[in-house]
Amino acid sequence: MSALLIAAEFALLLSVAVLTLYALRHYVLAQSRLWGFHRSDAVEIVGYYMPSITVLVPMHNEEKVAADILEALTQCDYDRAKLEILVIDDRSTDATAEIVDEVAAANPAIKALHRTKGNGGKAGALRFATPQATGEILLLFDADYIPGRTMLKWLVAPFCDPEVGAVMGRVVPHNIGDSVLAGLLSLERAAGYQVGQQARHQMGLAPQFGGTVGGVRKSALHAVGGWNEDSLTEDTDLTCRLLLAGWRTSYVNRAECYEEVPHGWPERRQQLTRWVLGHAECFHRYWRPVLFSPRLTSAEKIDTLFMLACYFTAPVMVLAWVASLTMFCLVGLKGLTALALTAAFTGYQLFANQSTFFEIGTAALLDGPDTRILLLPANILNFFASFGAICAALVRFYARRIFGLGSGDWYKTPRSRQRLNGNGANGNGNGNGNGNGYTHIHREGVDLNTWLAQASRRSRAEEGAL
Amino acid sequence: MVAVAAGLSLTVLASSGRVLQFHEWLCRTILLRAGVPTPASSLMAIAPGLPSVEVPVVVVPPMTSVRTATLAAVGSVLVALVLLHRYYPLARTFLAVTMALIIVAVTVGFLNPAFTIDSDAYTKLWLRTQFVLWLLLPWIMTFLVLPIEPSPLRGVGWILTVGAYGLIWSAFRLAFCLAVFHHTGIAFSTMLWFNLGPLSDLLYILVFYSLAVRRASARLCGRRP
Repeated sequence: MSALLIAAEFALLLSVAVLTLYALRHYVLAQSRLWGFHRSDAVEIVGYYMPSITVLVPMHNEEKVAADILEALTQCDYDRAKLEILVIDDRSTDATAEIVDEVAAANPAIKALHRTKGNGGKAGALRFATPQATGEILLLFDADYIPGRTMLKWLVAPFCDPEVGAVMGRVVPHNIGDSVLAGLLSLERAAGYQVGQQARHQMGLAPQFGGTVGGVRKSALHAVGGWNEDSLTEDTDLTCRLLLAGWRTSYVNRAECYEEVPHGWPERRQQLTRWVLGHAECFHRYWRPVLFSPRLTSAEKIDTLFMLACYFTAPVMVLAWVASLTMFCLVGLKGLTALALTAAFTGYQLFANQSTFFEIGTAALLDGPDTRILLLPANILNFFASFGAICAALVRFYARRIFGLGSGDWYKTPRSRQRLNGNGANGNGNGNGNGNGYTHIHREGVDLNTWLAQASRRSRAEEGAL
Repeated sequence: MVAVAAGLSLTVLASSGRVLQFHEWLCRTILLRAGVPTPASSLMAIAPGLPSVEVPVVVVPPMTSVRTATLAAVGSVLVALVLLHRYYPLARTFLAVTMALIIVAVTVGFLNPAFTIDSDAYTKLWLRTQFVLWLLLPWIMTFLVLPIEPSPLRGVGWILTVGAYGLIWSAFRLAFCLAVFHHTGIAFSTMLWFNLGPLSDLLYILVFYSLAVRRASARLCGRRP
C-alpha cells in the first residue's frame, strides 16, 4: 500500500514538474515577444530579391476550394518569368481534376499534374511533383489556403541568406465565426504563430516549418533526402532534418495566409490525430540525433525536444489524474490535496491547450483589438476534447509501434466552404463551364481582393507598429 | 512588478484574520439563506502562523445513511451528464472526466462506509488551498496583467479586483459544496473539488485575464506595451 502511495506521489510530482517546464517555456516565449527585439529577416529586400520559384499545391478531393487558391495565386505580384505553379491532383475522386485542368488551360503559369497511384498523403504528392519543379525555391500551399497578393515576395525574401533552408509564413484562420471551436482554434493559431514561431525566430531557436505557407530551398531539400513519404507530418520531419543538417529555418510573421480551420469536433479530432501520430513518430526518430547533435546549441536542443514532445503532455496529465485519484482512495482527505494540485495543473493545461493562455493573450494583444480573446475561458472544452483525442492517438501510435496493430493512414481534413454558383476561378463570374460553379470563399458579392483585405485587417498590427 | 506583487501579497498576509473571518461569515450567511442548518461552529487554526477562525459546521452523513438521496442525486446528475455527452461532442471528454470522478467517490463511499469527509476537515483544506491562492494571486496577476497593461494603476486595479472576486467567489463555492455534502454525503466530493476547486479559480483568473487583454489591446491597437 505504501509503495503504491509513494509511486503515486512520485508520478504526481513528475507530472507537475513536466507541466511546469512547459509553462515556463511558454512564459519565456510570450515575454520575449512582448519585450524582445523584433526580428524580421530581409524585410528591406522584399520585392527586389526574386529567384525562380515553384509553387506546389497538392490537392486530394479539393473541389470545394481548388478554384480559390488558384485564383489567388494567379493574382500574386511575382515576376511571371520566374513563377511556376504546379497543382498536383493527388488521386482525387471528385471534380478536382477537371477544375485544375480548366484553370491550367487558362493560365500558362499553372501546370496540372495528375497522380493516379502511389502512397497516400501529402508527402507522396510532393515527392511526385518535386522532380518536375524548375524553381530554385519551392513554395507550398495547402488547397484551402488563400495567399494575399504580396505573399510570394515575402516568403521568398529570407532565402537571400544562403544558410536559410526553409521559410515559414503565418497561418491565419478566416472562418473564425463558423463555430466556437473555430474561434478557439484561431486563438490557438494566433498564439502559435504570432508568439511561438516569432519568439523562437527572434531568440535564435528553430521555428517549425509547417508544410504550408512556407518554402524550402530545393538544394536543401535534396541535401537532406527529400520528402519523407513515411511520415504523417512531413513538415515536422523536414524541420528536424534541416536543423540537424545545419540549415536555418526563418519565420516571416508578416506573410499572412488565410486558412479554414475545422469548425466541427469530428474534423478537428481527425486532424489532431494525424498531427499526434506524426509528431510522436518524429519524436522517436529524432530525439537522439537532436540531443546529441554537435551543431545545435543547448537552447535549440531543448526547444526542439519540447516541440517534438508537446503532445506527450496529455498522457502526463492522465498520469497526474490517476496518481491523485489513487492518493484520494488511499489516504482520503489528504488525497484531495493531490487532487487540488492536479486540478490546478489541469486548469493550466486546459487554458493552455497546445499553446499557453499567456501566449494566447500576448498574441491577441499584438494582433490588435478583437473580441475573440473573450473566448479564452471556453478553451476548457477544447482542452478536454483535444486531450482525449491526443491520448487516444498516442495509444494508437504505440499499439502500432509495439504490437503492429492498426494503420497509420493519411487523413485529409474535410472542407466546409459553401459552394456558390456563378463565381469562376478568375473571379469573372463565368463558373467552371459545367454548371456546377466553383466554390468561393467569399460571401456572395465580395471579390477575392476585398475578402483578403477584410481578412488581413485582424492581424496586421505588426506593420508599422512593431 | 515584484514590489507590487510582494506588497499586495504581504497585505493579504497581514490582514489574514479579517480576510478569513469575512470569508466564513459570507459562507455561513449563504448556507443559512439556502436552508442548510449549521448547528455548531468550531474555532479552527487553518495553518501555523495564521489566526484561528470560527467556521460553520455542517452535518455530513455517511453515504450509506442517505442511500436513497445519494443514488437519486447521482443518478440524475449522471443522466444529465450523459445527455450532454451525447449532444455536445466538444464537451465529451470533460463530461467523461466529471462522471469518472463521481463514480470513484460513490464507489469508495459505498465500499468503505467508514470513509467520510466531515465539513470541518473539508473547510480547513479548502481554506488552506484558498489562502495559498490569495497569497499567490497578486503574483499571478502581476506577471500576467502588468506586462500588458499600459497603465500601471489600472493594472493594480485589475489585481485588486481579482483578489476581491476570488475571496467572495470562494465563499459561494465552499457553501455550495457543504450544502451538497449535507444532502448527499461525499458522493460529489471529488467532482466538486475538481470542478469548483482550483479549476474554478483558474477559470475566473482567465476570465479577468481575457478582459484585461481585451481592454489593453483596445488601448494599444497592436503596439507593444
